[in-house]
Amino acid sequence: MESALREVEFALEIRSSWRTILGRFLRHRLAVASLTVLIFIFLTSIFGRMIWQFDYLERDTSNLSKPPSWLHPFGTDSLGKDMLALTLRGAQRSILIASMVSLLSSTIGVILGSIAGYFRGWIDALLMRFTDLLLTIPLLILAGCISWQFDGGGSWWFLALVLGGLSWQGTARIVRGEFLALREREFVEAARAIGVPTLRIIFRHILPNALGPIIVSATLSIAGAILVETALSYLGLGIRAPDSSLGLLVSDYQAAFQTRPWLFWFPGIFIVIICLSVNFVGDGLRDAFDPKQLRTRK
Amino acid sequence: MIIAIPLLFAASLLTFFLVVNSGDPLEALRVKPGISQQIIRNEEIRLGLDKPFVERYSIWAGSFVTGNMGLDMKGRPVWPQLWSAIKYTMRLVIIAELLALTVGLMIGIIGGVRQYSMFDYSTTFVSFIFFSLPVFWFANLLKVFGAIRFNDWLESPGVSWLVAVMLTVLIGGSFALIGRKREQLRLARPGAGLKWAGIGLSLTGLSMASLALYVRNREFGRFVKTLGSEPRILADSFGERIWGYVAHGLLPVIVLFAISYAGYSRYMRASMLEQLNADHVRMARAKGLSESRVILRHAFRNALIPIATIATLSWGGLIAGAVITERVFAWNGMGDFFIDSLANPSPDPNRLLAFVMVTAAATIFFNIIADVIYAFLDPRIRAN
Repeated sequence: MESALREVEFALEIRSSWRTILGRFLRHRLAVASLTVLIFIFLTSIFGRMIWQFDYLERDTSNLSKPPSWLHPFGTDSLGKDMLALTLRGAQRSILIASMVSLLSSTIGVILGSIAGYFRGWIDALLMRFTDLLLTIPLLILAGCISWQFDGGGSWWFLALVLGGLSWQGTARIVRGEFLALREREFVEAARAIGVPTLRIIFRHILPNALGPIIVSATLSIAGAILVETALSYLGLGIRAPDSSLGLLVSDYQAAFQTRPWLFWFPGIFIVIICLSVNFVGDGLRDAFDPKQLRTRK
Repeated sequence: MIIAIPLLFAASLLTFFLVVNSGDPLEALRVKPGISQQIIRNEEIRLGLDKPFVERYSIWAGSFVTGNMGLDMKGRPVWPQLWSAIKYTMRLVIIAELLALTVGLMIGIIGGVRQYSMFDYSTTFVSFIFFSLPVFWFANLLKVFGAIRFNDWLESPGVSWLVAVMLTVLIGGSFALIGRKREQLRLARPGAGLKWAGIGLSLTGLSMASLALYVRNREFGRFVKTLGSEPRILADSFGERIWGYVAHGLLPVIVLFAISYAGYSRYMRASMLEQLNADHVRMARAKGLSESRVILRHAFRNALIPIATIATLSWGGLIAGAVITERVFAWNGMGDFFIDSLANPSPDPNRLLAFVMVTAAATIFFNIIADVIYAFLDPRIRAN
């Protein structure tokens, strides 16, 4: 009898909130499939270059402007560069930049949002006006101005820094909202009453409870970052020539669309697939963290 | 609303700081062979590069307030150039935005009311695709398939057997599915699937046939244009002139429409769901109000409130989208203006500043409009 009770207790403990969330996410079939696709693209873009026989700068001069074949599955361009290697290299750069942007913007957003939401008052007002200020100028314009001019412009990490440093406004607003609601709750009051230091209240007591929306917005911001990065590179304001990016590839080969369509299709389709999977994963995470949006009551 | 002025001031200070510290406007001149120090010095004085930050800012701010926004590197006033660019861009953006708002809200309402229906799933999927489409790629695709291939087709219209069969299956199948659904919901008698398929196919066939007749008797030339913002030679008659604008604007409008439509339909759907789950809607249903009244008066009106925010936030994305779209379709709009002033061949401070300031001012202006719309939609704000 006693052992059975202990068993039940144990079983209940195992179903922690994270496990419930994971379970809910795994039930979202589209999101799981997208995650698989995403991991596959991620791994091939990083390790594929080691296995694949062609380098992205290498020229196969006996196969110029060839349509897709067994030797070159994505075809070759007019210099004999292998399109698969180029696309993988571009995807690697784009994913790398987008992940860094997402990490950076989430960190900044969480810090500024939690400060604004926890302390309220003039700090909040100041930070939020600053957020409004950065929102008045479109990200593409601001990032384009900066990354075009500086000496570091054109290198991937500089672009990632600029985009990450300028795209935290959404996260900051979300985190602030969560903090404004959570700081009034009893457990925070209790923590304050027994004298827990402020930083510990913010990071140990409030932040874990606001993690859901943060993770969702960080995931979705990857898709946004890829779109902005590729657009900047397309316009010639982002990644530049010796390096490669999916946006740069589309820009380089757009004139070839009519005659050699494979040069145009593959980089673009890669962008669409990556962004689509990221968006589906984000959607699945949202449903897993916040199952409130159920079927409407009739 | 008072916040607008300090916000605009802060935005101008920020952009001025960025533009001044980013690159040398005389870079191209400096590397040119055979240019003496004196010429460079004179250029520096002419452009005010030798003055301290505060003085440069106040000179620029003065020219901004008085209207011509300073002179560009070649000594021409900036404002007239920017204004002609704004006219093109605004025409594009406003039409696309109005279309996206109308269609997006309608789709969002239906998606919210009929959650998890086939309609909901398919429209959600489409908006996810639009969310993930890189603008520049989509615009290039449209250029080839929406214009070049479509114009080819207009010149010698014809449909291959394969396409005809596929179209028949697709249209007939979707109508059959709708009929089947109605049958299941007991809105139609048994066998409705077949009936609906028949009706759908014959209607589509009729319209296709009449369209084919219409096309056959007319000379379209290469109707859909891929380059330029308007016909080079304006036609005499009013109707032809409108057609000219339509032919040039069609594809860019589609691109911008796709950018903002996805956001509107998704947010409207979510907002609608929230309202439909709210107690006041339940109450309205319990009172026995008709379903259309419940949806339009009680749910839709309240669901619009968060959309006002989304609409102002989407403005930035729309401007960015317009920059790219205009680049692809070679419009002389703000996008062209921006890229030109950034890199032709070295940055042109006054042009850049004017561009960023106008964008920021527009954003702030739209925020004010959103506040007004809030007050109009939300009785709680009106009461204050």
